[in-house]
Amino acid sequence: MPEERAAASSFEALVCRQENHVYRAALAILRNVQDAEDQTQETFLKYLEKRPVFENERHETAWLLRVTVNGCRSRLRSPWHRRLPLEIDLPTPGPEEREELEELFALPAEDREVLHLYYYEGYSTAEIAKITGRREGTVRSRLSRARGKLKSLLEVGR
Amino acid sequence: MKQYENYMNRQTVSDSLHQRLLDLEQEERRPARRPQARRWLYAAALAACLLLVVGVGRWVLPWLGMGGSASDNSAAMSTEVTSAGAAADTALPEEAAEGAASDTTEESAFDAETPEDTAGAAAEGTETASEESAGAAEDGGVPVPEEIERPAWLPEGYSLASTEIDETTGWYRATWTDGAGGELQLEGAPDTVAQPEGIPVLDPADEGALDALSPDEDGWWRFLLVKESGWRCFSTNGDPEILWQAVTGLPES
Repeated sequence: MPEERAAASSFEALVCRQENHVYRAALAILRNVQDAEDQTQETFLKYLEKRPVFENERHETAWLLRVTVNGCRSRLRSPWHRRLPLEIDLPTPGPEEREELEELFALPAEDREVLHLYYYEGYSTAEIAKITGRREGTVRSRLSRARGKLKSLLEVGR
Repeated sequence: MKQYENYMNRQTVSDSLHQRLLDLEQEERRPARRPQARRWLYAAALAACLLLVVGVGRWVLPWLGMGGSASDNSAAMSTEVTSAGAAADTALPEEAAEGAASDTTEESAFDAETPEDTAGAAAEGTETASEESAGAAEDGGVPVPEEIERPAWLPEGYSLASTEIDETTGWYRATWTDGAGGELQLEGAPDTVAQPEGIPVLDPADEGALDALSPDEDGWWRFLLVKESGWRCFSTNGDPEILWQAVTGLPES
């Protein structure tokens, strides 16, 4: 497991810190394990190309997530994805999780994007706007619409 | 969302992916092979383009003769620039030659340059026509027209990432990135090439046109502008205001 390996370099340490954040975001948007793995690799490749300097770990996560979100969008709009039906290939959820996950993963990609960043990663709408490159008003309205669709599930608890 | 949280907490990177990620850094430190491979690819691409031009010359020439100049014969994307500088204009090949004569009252970047566009292009420090060939020589590949390399409306921080040109039809697509995943894309073609379907056509004169626009399922904003000479499709995965400013020349509200 990643947490058992010693971090030999700063890049290795960054990978260990951030790989699951990146992978989970890609999985939420792409709904496909193979695509999410490919995108995770692309994200860290982009990091190696740019070598940005971060103020703190939160800034680091936000930058990587932004690259991931934009990379996922590019994949979804590619001619290949448009030509073929999108293949959903997700790890099997537990019986208690199934209903909520079926509802959530049936939402459009941009709804899943903001829901994941808001509820799972804990970002504010302003932060999500910066990560996704959208206007904050757009993020809020999308969050509101997604909540409406998941109302009965969200009433159970955040 | 508790179930979603529990489910996502269980999703972790596999051992093989983790190792591939660590190996990325090692591969980054071995650039020696890449420049050579790239040169071969560029040479092959250039040879293919030349064969294409020679092979379909008889079919292409009549179309080029309708609005282009002699220099267009070497590439569907015109390398000519207007006397006012082409950096502010993303015109199709025939429009580059006709730019000075077209309607100068419009301020849209889609159309020919106006004196205001020229001032804007100069203020942004865009490349001059004499520097046009520098972009072509840099990597030994197919020449990139200057008006695609750095149009005047391109925001700071964006640079040209890729261009695709179909020399037989005049279709082209250019993509710029901000280095952090943000992309702008311009696709254009003469009216002999069918417009892409399902993309809203906007009127630059309609100030409220952008309000009615919504992103595609994949989060990309796209709109079409159509002229007699052809169409252009503007796309971005970021804020569509950037593109709209380019089209209308209006300040951001």
